[in-house]
Amino acid sequence: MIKYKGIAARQFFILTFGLTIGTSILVTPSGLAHTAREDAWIASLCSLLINILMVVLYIAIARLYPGKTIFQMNELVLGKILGKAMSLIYLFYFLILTGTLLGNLGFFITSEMMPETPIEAIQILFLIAAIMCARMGIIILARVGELMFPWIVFLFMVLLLSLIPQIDWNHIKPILEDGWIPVANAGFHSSMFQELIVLMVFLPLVKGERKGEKALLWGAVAGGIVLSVTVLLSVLILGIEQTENSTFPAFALAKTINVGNFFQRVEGILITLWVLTFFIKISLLFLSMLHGIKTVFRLKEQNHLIYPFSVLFIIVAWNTYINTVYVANIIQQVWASYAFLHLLVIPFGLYLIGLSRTKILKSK
Amino acid sequence: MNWHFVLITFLLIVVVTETRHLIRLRSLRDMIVFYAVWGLTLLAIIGDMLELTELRPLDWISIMMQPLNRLIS
Repeated sequence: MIKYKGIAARQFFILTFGLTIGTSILVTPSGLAHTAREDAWIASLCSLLINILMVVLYIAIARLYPGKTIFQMNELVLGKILGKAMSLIYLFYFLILTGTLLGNLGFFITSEMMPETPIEAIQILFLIAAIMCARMGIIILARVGELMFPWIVFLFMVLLLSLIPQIDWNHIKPILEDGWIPVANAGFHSSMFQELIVLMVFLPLVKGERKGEKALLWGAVAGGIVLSVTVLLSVLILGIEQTENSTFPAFALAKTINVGNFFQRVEGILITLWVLTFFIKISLLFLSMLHGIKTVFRLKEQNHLIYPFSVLFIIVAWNTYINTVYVANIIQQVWASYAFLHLLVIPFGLYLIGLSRTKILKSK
Repeated sequence: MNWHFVLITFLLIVVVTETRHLIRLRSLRDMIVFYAVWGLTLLAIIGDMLELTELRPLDWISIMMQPLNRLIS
């Protein structure tokens, strides 16, 4: 029997794409429209640019320590104790992220689709899928991603083409009325919700070093373009007020599809698209947490931690996504700066220390 | 439905099945980490059952980030 050890660059591209879209496709337009108003689509392009910069930074770190995950790099750069402490900080970040995503999923399904189903049942059901994926490993997830990808693209194209007849170009006018500051602000805020650092755990598994880097970059770009198109369509079709005031503007957008009074009520397309990419995102987070804890404590195995962790995710979900007002408040006031630390500040610090260390070692 | 009861029952089943597996694995480190995570999860469930508001991790983050947010604004 052939045993596969790595993942192909193509599969890594799909995982990056799925992680970038993840939950963002549903909620991003609202946050962007709130700050950047008619220029939300430009702000989403700014967000894409910041994400590209992040990826470039991650690639630069990965080149300093080839074949190492973010958790191993922490120990190599900061030393054993500080490195482990830093890895635990990242593990906490991933834990909160997973819990919040699960809470978001439960809230969306119960508020928009299945109001009589207990939120806990929905969360547990999705978690079972993530548990199966965590037990099977990243290679199986990569293959599942490969199977899902054509459907994700197909469903997105159906969504896109069926929305085109409803576009009203006046909704994005005037352009840059308040200048670049709100646009840059909204773009920065939005870019903090694409947690591409998670992929630093899986980058060493990609066959072909440079191919993995390219896949990471292009995956982030492709995902960012999909998000930008969704934001643009939300503003063009729903207008600013509705985009800003909807909890899930992309869902409201999908509800408006009506081609010749025949092709309508197809919001299921968006839900399918979202659920597929959500599955990729939550599975990647789960796997990265397991890998992180294995590295930090030098464990022989990691699978026995799957079940206690999954229960912990549920508890975190119940205690993070308490209600929309609470979460919206945290997102607006705290989350961007918290994520900024983990996504840019710490990696940049790691890069600078790592770079000076390797230069000192070379000069010796 | 009492979801806490379901989760605690599940955790009890997990501790029995995984202990057998961990004994076979012969790794003290693995065993300690497993029981630490398991214990933490059990405590989290009990805290949630008691509806302790101190258990909200986003509030912890909010408190931790206050000095930085003040610095930015």
